[in-house]
Amino acid sequence: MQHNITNQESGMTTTEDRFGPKYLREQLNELLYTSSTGLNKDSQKVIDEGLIRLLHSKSIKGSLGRDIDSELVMYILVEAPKTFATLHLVFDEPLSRYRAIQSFKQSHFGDDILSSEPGEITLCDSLPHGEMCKQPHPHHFPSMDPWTDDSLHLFIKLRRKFIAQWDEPELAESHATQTITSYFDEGLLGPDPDPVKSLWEKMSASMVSSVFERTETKTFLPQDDIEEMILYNTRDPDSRYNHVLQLMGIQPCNASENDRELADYILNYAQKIFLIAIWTDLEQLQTAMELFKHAHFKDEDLPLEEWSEQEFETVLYHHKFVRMEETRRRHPGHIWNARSIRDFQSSQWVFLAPNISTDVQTCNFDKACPIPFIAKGTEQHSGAHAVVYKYTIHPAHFKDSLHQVTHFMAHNSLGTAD
Amino acid sequence: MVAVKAFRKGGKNVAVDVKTEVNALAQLNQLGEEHIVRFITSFQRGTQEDLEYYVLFEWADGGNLNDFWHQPHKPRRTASLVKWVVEQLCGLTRALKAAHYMPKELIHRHGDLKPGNILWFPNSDGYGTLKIGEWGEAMNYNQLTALRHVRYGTRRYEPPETGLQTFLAMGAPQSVSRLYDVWGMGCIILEFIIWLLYDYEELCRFNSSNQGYFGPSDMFYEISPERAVRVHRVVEHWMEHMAKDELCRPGETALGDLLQIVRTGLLVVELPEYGGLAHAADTEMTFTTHGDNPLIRVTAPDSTTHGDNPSNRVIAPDSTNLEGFHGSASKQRTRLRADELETEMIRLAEGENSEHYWHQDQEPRPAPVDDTGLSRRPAPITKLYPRVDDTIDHPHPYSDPMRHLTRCMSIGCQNWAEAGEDQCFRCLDSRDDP
Repeated sequence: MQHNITNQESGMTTTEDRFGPKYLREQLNELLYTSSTGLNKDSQKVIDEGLIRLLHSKSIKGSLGRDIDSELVMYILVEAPKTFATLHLVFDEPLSRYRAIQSFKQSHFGDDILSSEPGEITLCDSLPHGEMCKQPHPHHFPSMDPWTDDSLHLFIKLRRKFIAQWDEPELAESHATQTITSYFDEGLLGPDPDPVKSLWEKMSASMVSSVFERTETKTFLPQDDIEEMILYNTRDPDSRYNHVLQLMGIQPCNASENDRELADYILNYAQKIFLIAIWTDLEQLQTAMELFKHAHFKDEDLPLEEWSEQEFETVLYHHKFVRMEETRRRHPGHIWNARSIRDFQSSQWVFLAPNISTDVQTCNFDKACPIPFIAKGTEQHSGAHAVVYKYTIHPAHFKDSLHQVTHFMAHNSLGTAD
Repeated sequence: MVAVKAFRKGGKNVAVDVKTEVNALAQLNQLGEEHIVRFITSFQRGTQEDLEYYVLFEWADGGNLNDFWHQPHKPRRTASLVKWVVEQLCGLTRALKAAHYMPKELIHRHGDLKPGNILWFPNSDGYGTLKIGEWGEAMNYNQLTALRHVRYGTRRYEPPETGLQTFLAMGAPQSVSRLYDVWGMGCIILEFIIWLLYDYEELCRFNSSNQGYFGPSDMFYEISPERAVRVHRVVEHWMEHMAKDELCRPGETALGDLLQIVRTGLLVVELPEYGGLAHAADTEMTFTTHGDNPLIRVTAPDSTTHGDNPSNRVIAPDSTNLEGFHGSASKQRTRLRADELETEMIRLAEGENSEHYWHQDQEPRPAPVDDTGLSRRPAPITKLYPRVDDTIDHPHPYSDPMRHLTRCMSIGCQNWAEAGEDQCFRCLDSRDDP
């Protein structure tokens, strides 16, 4: 799941240098400078679009000076982009920003609260004595590092640089929704300069946690997101086709016959494999996909069998991915090695949440497979042989054909009675 | 929303039990019965050596029948409520019958019918639907030993046959009959009547009174030290009391007819000679299939209290069929089978259209007081009658330990407690009955 910082282009600014701790702060200041302060609807749009452009996993990690998990990235991108941006106007130190955003995440502070009336974000009387406030306040500032009276006042004042103060709450809400959905709408920003990065972020933002008691630490990408949002299945075939080509760095107008056949293969047989490759930052995406095509490795062949560390150390050359590369390339090992295969086999499950269907009597699921339950009820009943829990299945992963049958039967029996 | 049943690990044969249950649940789904909780799917996860099993069902938003009875605001006793209750009981009975006589016979009975296993699916435009859930007992335990020793939860709704099983020699094969469920239905319907006529508090009072003729007993029956079995004193007392209420008159009100069915056909210790087996009935009791021909008529409630009362005889409306119905000279009232109960329920549901039948604009008399003095009344003796079990195909009736036990007891043989049938020479000598 990690988005690796690479240093492959020698002689150029490395990715790591580019997105250093100062990068976001400088960029945000520039953004605020170029747009007018004292927000109106137009400048708000410029700022929102600027935030969408500036905030991504690499810049966030750089700003916080550390590698962070995708969950925190997702929270910042979806729940708290403006909160996170405001922090850059308050704190210089990456560690302070990190502590602040972590505590916001824990207390479910987000841009919705950031935008609330000033009276609702108040300072706690107990500040700044270094103790956690035990009173139920509507604020979300624990009286601990990095918060002091000064930094809190500054935060409340400066948040206005990123949020509009419109009269119509509905308009504000619809704009907030648009801000988030615009991440997924490439049209707003014109041609995407880095479609792989955008897709990675879309996936990151769409991850859902499984709440099933045994897979609580696992996330999955819902089937409808895979199909509709990421692969544009609802759009016209050309658009899907071109999107896949662009993701492999091929301009549709320059695509060869081979390129088109490869895109065809991906869309028909290897959508999930393609997404796993992108999710794991696989090197040489196009070549990797060509190897899969040549070996006829398809989505239906997933999950990839899990290898142990010992197998990686002793018989790596037997692995089907390694062999795949050996037979086709003069200098194998660039794409498939122990690390990339390990990434693939651990990340694949994110895309393999199963469908729960009334048409199937019994299924077998791997222990690593996230069960697509997205809500858990508090009620549970214990019996001698079993415990009963209440769960909600993600709608995209539940096929209920019995429901229709029941309705039909009810209707039918009424008809007979009449 | 779904109910996910997670099986506990470590039990013997969990894999086989779950597979059997899932197969049977899939068959139950195919019945298309509205009043059976829908099975969605099942899954297992993990490695072959360490599998976890899960079965998914539709989720009952309202909880179970106890939750329905314990609503913050009890629905008023209107005609539509009483009709709904009868309609639901009718549907539950139809579902039970369908399960009892499934073509592939994967399930013989539910085995654990009780208010807690009747699930409530509320809807926005009415009282909702009641469905039978928790079929796990039906599949996992053909051997009653499990039922007797490791049963989880209440045993209140078990039939008298279960109490008798404890007299069998240890290790003897035991079985659960379809007629167990009919007793359970009797308990459920009786509690429904108490709730309808009075309220939840009175129902709780009924359920917490356990002083029987022979001492305390939590079941709807009781067994004397001499192993005489009868309906529990408290149950009889409440049924008698309610039958005298104007709101509960047989033939005049729906509640009265419902109570009558419970008294004369469900909470009945005696079992029909052919057990719960319908096909035996089909050959010998063909007239029972006519819905417009009521199966049984009984004498006035007051005269049905004691088993030794000569007037306590089941009489068919067409007396020429009487012998055929009972298959012997004995005219002892016996427990209904699920198909017979369904016929009775349909008759009740469709029989009367007068407004008064469904709703009486008056309050019931006060509920019965807990008259502990009754416990000192000498208890009428109830004889035990042999029966044929319907779930195990015994080569000879005497191979059925239950029948063996009842026979021993009826002829005064004392060997039943210690020895198996092979050692019971007195019984072996007298194997003259068919």
